[in-house]
Amino acid sequence: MTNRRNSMPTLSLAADGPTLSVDAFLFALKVMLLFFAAWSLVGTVALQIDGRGITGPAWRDAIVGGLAQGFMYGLIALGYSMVYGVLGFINFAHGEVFMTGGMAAYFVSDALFDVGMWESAFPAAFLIALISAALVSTVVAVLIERVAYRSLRAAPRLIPLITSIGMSFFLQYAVRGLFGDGFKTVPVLPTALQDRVSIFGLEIEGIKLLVIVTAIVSMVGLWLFVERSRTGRAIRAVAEDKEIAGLMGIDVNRTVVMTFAIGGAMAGVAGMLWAMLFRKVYFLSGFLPGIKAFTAAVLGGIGNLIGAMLGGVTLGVVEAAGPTLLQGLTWSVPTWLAYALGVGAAAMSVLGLLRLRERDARRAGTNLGMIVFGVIGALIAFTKLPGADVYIPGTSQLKDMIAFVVLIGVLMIRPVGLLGERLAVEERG
Amino acid sequence: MPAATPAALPVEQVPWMKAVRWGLVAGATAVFLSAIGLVETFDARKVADPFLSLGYVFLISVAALAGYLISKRQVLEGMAPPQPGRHNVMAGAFLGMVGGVVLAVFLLAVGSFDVREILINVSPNLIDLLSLGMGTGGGAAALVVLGAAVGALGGALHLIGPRTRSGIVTGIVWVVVVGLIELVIGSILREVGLGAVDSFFFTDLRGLAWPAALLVFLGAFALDRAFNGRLKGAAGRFQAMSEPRRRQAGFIFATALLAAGMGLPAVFGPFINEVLASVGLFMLMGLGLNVVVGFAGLLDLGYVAFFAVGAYTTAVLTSPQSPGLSPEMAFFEAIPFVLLMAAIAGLIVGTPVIRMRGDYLAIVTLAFGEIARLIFQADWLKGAFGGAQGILQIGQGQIRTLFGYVLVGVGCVTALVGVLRWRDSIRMDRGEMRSLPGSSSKGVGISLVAMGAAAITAGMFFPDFASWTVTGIDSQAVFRMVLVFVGLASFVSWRLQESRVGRAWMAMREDEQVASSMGINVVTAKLLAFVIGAMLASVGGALFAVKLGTIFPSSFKIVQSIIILVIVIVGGMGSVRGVAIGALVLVGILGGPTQPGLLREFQEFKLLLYGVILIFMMLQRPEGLLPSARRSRELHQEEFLQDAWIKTQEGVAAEADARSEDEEDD
Repeated sequence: MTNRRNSMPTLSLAADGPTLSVDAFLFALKVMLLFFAAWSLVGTVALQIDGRGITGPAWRDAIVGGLAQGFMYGLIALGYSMVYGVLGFINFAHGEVFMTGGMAAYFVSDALFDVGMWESAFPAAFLIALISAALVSTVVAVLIERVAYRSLRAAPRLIPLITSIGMSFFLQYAVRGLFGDGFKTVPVLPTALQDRVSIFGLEIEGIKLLVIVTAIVSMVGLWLFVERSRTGRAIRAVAEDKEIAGLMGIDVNRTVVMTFAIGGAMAGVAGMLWAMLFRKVYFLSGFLPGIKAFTAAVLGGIGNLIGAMLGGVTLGVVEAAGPTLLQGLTWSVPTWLAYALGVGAAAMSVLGLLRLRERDARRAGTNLGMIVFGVIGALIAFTKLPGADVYIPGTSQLKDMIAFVVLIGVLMIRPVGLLGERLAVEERG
Repeated sequence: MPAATPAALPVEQVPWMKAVRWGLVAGATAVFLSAIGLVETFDARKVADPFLSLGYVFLISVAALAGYLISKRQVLEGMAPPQPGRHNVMAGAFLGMVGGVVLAVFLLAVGSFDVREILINVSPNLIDLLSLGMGTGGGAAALVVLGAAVGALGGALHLIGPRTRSGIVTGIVWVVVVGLIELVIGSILREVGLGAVDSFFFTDLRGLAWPAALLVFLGAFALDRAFNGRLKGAAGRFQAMSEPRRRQAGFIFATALLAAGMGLPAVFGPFINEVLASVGLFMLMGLGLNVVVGFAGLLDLGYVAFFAVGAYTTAVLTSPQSPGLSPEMAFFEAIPFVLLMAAIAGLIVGTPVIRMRGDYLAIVTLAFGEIARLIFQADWLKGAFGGAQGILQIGQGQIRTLFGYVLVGVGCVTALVGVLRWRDSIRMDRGEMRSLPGSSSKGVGISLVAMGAAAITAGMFFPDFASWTVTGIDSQAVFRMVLVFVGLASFVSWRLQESRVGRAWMAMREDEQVASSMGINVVTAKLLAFVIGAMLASVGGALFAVKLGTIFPSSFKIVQSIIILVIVIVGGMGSVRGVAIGALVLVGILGGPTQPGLLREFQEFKLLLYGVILIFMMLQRPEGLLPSARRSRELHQEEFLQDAWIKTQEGVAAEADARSEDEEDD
């Protein structure tokens, strides 16, 4: 008796109710996210053309501010990326490493101010503070590795993660216990930096220019180090396969320490720059920037150094422009556009229906989503969308939320990030 | 073959370099404890007034512990145990000396320069304390000498027999503990009329008087020597009992505990009731997180979001001052909606993270937690949630009389189930039925009937119970309500663990791909974990809202999630009684993020301690204090496998010996 089943290979992954609904729902979420993102972008452009947007100089300030902050996110993200590449877990305490760098920057700059050097010899003072901050952060990072992570190399991945959470907590409240919970105000910057400088025809605040330049220099230095030097090669080797690298004669322990040290140094530089730019640090300074920097690392592709920087800058700019972009939602959708979208949704529905006949069990949920939400989308597009606008008051409060939404969005839509992961996507051994 | 003679034991050397390293670390720890103000704050609590305060005890224990641990060697199979001797004392002394030097340098430094601008907690008081009343220079020298002495004592602990050592340590621990919980003991003694005992034991400076300290030490020492062996034996016998009998014992214990819990609030003062209510809330949320992290293995760092959803749903539905929707329901009428909203929130959070790896799952749930707080705080939705001002007047006088009837109904059902179980156990004894899964034993049956009867009685005959107007001010009533829900949650957790879903979670936790190949629907399992966890947290949030009467978005920060995580981990991931113990110990003693615990002095330092505890637990005992055997095996797999291998090798060697003896005889 011929076994008919052998003629058409069926996938063993059953597409059952819950999986289908989840996939369909996820598809709908992704589409909605992209839709609203597109709406705000198009709306902002449209409003700008209409003359209802913000002024040119306001845009310039927002973008430059976003760049400066983004470069700092990038510097911190480097540490997350490197540790994840080498050890395979998220070093939650990295945000606090950044914070200790900022605190060190405050103390040193305050001391230099007291002796008058801050104002009289600012470049030297800046360098001293920068190096101190980087040094302190490096020491903290290396200590963390030695105390908490070294003995957990072989543990299941959840354990080092939880340990790093505990370490993050400990650092925050140790700093609070030692130095108090008040905001530390960094001394006033020399007036030269507070004024605007003209570069390539653009007028940028001096301090933001300094931040960007310092960040780029650090990043270039790091890249050269990782690409050219022996230690850098060792790091890349250990990141690829720890055991084989060990068998090849690389001192894995020393390489891991170097990884933490470099990541810590970069975070220290970022801490110094943050202190300069925002002039306030306190024991919780590292929490939000830490999460946002991790988002940047994921956005760029975790394990990828250039990606970390790119992700950081992107996130910084999006965050800075975010509140303005959200105002783009107040642009009412013209009827023709709404109808066009409706037609597009209907087309998606049909496409889903056609694809369903392929019987690909893994995509069944997505196809189902296409059908169902295509229909719903078309209905909404034809009835409610023309002339619709969304008004969100207090968008600057939601600025922090932008990073979180980006994180969730990236992990849903393109988990490998913009530049793709350098390492395997599947479970690492 | 004759066994190889062991090599002659080498003369033990004093590990000088190691002692220097350890001494530096110990000294740095002592400096740290001083600089954050711990020593000064705890100086207020005496452990043997007037000689010893808790602040000094901390410093002393650092040196003593280090002095003891430096000579502690792990004895593996086949190794000869190290001989204790003078070198232990020398190592400890040297270590203590180095540590003392570090602390002395610190003292000299802060004595000469004013560092208060940098290290804000280094006050003149601290300098006095560290100088031991001898001025900076004299104090510094004294610290070095004392450090060496205490370190030597720590090392000397190796020289005394293990039973005496255990006795001494127990004695010291009990002195410190009694000194610390003086508040509880004192208030109980006063309530019961033994005020004279209270004033003998404790001084006005909130601690033990030294004669009392001596008494406690000797008493604990004696008790330890008498009962130590027996306690371990009892624990062993308990483990060795068969599964149904253990369950029976557990059931009876739980019932007794619940009964005590219902009655005791009358004895405790309002402060203790508040603390216990907090403990109960954290226990409830711990049980919920235990389902997500412990059973299903999903590290949810944004758990506080569900807590917030429960609190805000309750607030919106029950408060007359709710800005938007204001149906002004009764608390128990609002509960089903709370559960519904929680389920929806669980689905919203759970769906995107279904396919994410462990680390990403953690961060994304963290992001969701922050998003929830930002949404509740935003001006955008102020019309619904009150923005940063929150919602006031929750559940004030709105909780009506439904509870009495519910209690009666639940009591009837419980009693019926108890009768049925009891009947089943009779039939099993007679051999008419095969043994059933689940607890069908006489003890269980009787317990259930008793609980049911109690519930019915309470519901019908005590008018206070039946017309429960629970406001946040009545700490006893709040605590009782929390206790009821905690009991329900424990029961639900326990049953879940034993069910098919629980086993699916266990499989998924160990290896997701294998589980899914075995036919387990991983998607459903994960979503179910999130939904159930969310529901439990939301009930906690609802109780929290009622207890406080007002909620602000600032109460729902990430730090709450982390505290609950610490509780679950310290107690033991996946272990219901572990979570209970964890909540009791941590929140009861140290306090939650905003609530103080029994030990008020810890208020400033508790979050620091939580971090330290988490790190310590992960490094030393990731399975928690009261783990299940399975969890211990999961986390210490290598040791288990190694032990098993050694046993088989021993078996093989014994066989070979036996055979060779037989051959020789021939």
